[in-house]
Amino acid sequence: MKTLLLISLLLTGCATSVPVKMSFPQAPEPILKPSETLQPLDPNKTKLSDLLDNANNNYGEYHKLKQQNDAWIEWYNTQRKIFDGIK
Amino acid sequence: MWLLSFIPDAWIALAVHIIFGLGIIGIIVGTVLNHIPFVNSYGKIIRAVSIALFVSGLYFEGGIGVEKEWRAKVAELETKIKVAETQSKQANKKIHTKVIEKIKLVQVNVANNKQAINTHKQVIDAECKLNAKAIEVYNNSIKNGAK
Repeated sequence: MKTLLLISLLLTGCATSVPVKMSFPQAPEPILKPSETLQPLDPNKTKLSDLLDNANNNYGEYHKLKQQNDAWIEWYNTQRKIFDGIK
Repeated sequence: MWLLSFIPDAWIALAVHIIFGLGIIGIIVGTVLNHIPFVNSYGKIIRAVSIALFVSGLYFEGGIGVEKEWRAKVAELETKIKVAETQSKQANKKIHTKVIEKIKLVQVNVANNKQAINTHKQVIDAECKLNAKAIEVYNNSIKNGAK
């Protein structure tokens, strides 16, 4: 039993763990927002101005989403560059 | 060696040097006592214990070097991580501000277009009326089948 204990203790010399942890970077809050659904045109609205209004709103949602997507790409590239600098 | 990470550097070094030193002194004393009649039986015991001390002392002398090297690496890595975390936060702040500004601009443009549609409503609606088929095709393109 004593021999076993001694061997176990001596063998722990081979196990080396590095107690360093890096937390996963948090993404900025505005880019974490889920996208809005595009709104269809109400069939009762038959004027061209209604269609334009609807298209204007939907294009606005697209442009917001584009900004979020561009920001995600920029965030990923920046964080990756920072992470690579640690090695 | 992970066991050593719980003890301060100075204590480990001192303990290891004492064990190693006692091992060497014990071996010398044991060898000398071995040649003196009446006490030579004690000499053998002292020598055996001292050899064990010497071997473990030698092992830990090696281990302490490796441990110091690891601790230096850990300290270096921790410093790098702190710098990286600060850089990451700064980058996030920059992206946060940029996205907010751009989305605000999009919202302003949408509002301006809405105002223009309202202003020119009569002119826009003067020559065109949508039929049910046109609305159906338009809505199909919006829905697009993908969820």
